[in-house]
Amino acid sequence: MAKRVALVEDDRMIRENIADALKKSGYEVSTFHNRTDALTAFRVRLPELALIDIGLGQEIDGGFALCRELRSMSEQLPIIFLSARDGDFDIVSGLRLGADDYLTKDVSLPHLLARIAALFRRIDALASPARSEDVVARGDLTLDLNRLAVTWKTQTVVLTVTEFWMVHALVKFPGHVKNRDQLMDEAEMVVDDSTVTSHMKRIRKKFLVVDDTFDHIETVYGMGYRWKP
Amino acid sequence: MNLRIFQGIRGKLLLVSLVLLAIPVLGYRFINDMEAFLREGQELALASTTRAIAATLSDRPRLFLTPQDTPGDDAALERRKILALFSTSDPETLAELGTAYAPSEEIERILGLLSRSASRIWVVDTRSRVRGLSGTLKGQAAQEETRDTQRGDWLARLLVRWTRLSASSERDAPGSASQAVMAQVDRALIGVPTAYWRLAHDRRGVILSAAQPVWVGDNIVGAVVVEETTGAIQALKLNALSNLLTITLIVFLAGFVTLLLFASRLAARVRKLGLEAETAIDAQGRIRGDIVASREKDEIGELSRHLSAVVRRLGDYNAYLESMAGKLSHELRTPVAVVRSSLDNLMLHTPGDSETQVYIERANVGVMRLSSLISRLSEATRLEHFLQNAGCEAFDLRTVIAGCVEGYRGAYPGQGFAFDAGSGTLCIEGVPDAIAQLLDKLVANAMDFCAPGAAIAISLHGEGSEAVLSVGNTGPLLPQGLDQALFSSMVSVRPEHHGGVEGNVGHLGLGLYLVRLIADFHGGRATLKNRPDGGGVTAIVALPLHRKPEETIRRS
Repeated sequence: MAKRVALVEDDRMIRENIADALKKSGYEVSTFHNRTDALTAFRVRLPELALIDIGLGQEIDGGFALCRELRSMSEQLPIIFLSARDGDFDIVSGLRLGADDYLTKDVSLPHLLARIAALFRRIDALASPARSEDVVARGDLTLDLNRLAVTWKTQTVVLTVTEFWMVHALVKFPGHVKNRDQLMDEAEMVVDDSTVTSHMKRIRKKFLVVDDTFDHIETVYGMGYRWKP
Repeated sequence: MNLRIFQGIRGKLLLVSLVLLAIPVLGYRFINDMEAFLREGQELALASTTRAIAATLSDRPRLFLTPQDTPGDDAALERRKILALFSTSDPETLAELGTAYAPSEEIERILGLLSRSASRIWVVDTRSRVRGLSGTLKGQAAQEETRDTQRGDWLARLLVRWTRLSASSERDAPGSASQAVMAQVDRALIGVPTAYWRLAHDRRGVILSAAQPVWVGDNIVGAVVVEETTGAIQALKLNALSNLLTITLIVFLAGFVTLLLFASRLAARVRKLGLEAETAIDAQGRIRGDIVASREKDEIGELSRHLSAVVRRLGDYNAYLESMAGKLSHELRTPVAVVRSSLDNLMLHTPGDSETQVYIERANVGVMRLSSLISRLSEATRLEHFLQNAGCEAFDLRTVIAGCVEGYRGAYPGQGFAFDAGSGTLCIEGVPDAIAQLLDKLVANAMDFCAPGAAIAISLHGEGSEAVLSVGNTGPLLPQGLDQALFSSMVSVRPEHHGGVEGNVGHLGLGLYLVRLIADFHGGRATLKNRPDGGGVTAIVALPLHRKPEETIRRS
């Protein structure tokens, strides 16, 4: 059964390019170019994954509103945000809309497809019991690579797909320094250094919410980051 | 005299206030006019008194009969004695007159009836013998003297010199008015009435004398001379002058003080406005502050409002220009996304035709370069967001810089780094990641311009209340006049063929602009200087030290 992906994007060419790529990868795609059309369709039948552009036509933050409504209909549905603006990342993170990831519109399609695949894997993994060989444990930290779940001192830390991959890159070899390029590779994205810094900052904040003495992610100035064992 | 005092508004207003000097000058002229008027008045009055007395003595032939002719009179001696007496106001010297004084009882009786308190009356016959004498000038003079000295204030004493009435002939020494007096008596004896002002012998006043002939029928038998002091006029003049001076002084002082206060206020307002304008724009031409528009309705208030509007408009325009890079990058993302996604689709699902693949590859490389450029265009905006949202913390600058240098040594093994840091902690408050980024930019720049084989010198020292970080390289010098401009966005003096770290990705001149942004955020400043020995360029960043080093230093 092909997975059903909904794509809400107001720019026609981008929308059709992404839709084509998704179709060729074997997904079933429904496209919408504004919020109202998308909502109407969602009320009839929910998709299995949603790709939402934040700026929809006249509404600059239409995507956020749509996400909220979608979340109220389904807690588990994977949602990925697309955005043309850099500043949105902090907003999205701050709003805690429960998005599973956020990307800029000019992300390369292979990277986008990698994330979609990971999210669908997670849904399948949640439906079946946990497999121990896919769990990485480092001290108080556990990472379930299929469920994309992180726990710290047995408490869940909610990370986006990108953030999860970055943490995984660090803890694979604890004590080793990973520079920003390496982190970008592992997180399947191509961005500039300050975006990586922002992501790391947000990751730290999420851990601090759960444990305010957390300081295992160490900045090695001039080189990169390191997981302190 | 320091001329600079007069170049300010206060000095100029004070010079203008010298116009007030016209007041005392005009007043003095008025007083002089008044004095002349009064003199004339007194002269006329005395002349008519003398005429009246002469008229009383006229037509009485028996008045001037001589009791006996004294033989062998020494006429000259007599005359001299009479004239000497004339010169004094002291009637005690009557004794000296001797035979010159041959009073007629009748004359003296009449004179006694006519005498006045402030004058002396002489009656002289044709042989210049005094036939009658009445009155004294001394009492008046004494009165006036005491009155003068009673005016204890310094002003009156100062002015007494100026208020002397002028004598008819200034060249006469006091007491030697003899010639003139003789002439006056002689003229009266031939029938010509005269009036004459002479200085008293003690120089303390001026005496007015009027002479009239006494007629009996058509013959002149004698002359009447009336003398009067002029103390009244003098006193009036003294009073008027001292009042004038006092009032002038007060008006001057009041005007002076008022003008000084007004000028000071004006100068202060203008200076304040100038200072606001100066600080509103910093050395690099960015708008730092605002000018508060004054609500005063005068010209300075208007100027302030104009300046405020100008600064605000400039600021708006600057903000628009600076945000243009960010807006441009935002706008460019969408078309870049279209191109890239199209290329991605092509690459994923086209049959492996090598020729098509080559073109797709090249297109992809181009798009990636474009994307990277766009990314750097908006780097400044992202940096500003990042700095605003990042939490400030107190950290040891040495640790960060030392760590970075280690990283560079590892990342660029072909380039030498000389690190001079001293010891101890240099605690500053800010965002450690941003400082690392700042150093990255400076080092990248230094490496681009560094002469091959030379090392890059990085040093960190505390100087006073600042931490000073410098990154220096050997190589070409800064072009003249551009050292501040280089910190502006988009200004670059990189020769075209230079590869360096930025390499093929293209160069936008943004590195130093970001350095300045970060330095400004931390309350410091960044400068570029040619090395004193002319061998290269040093970038210097000064950051204020954190004042409470005992706070927890968190290293994350």
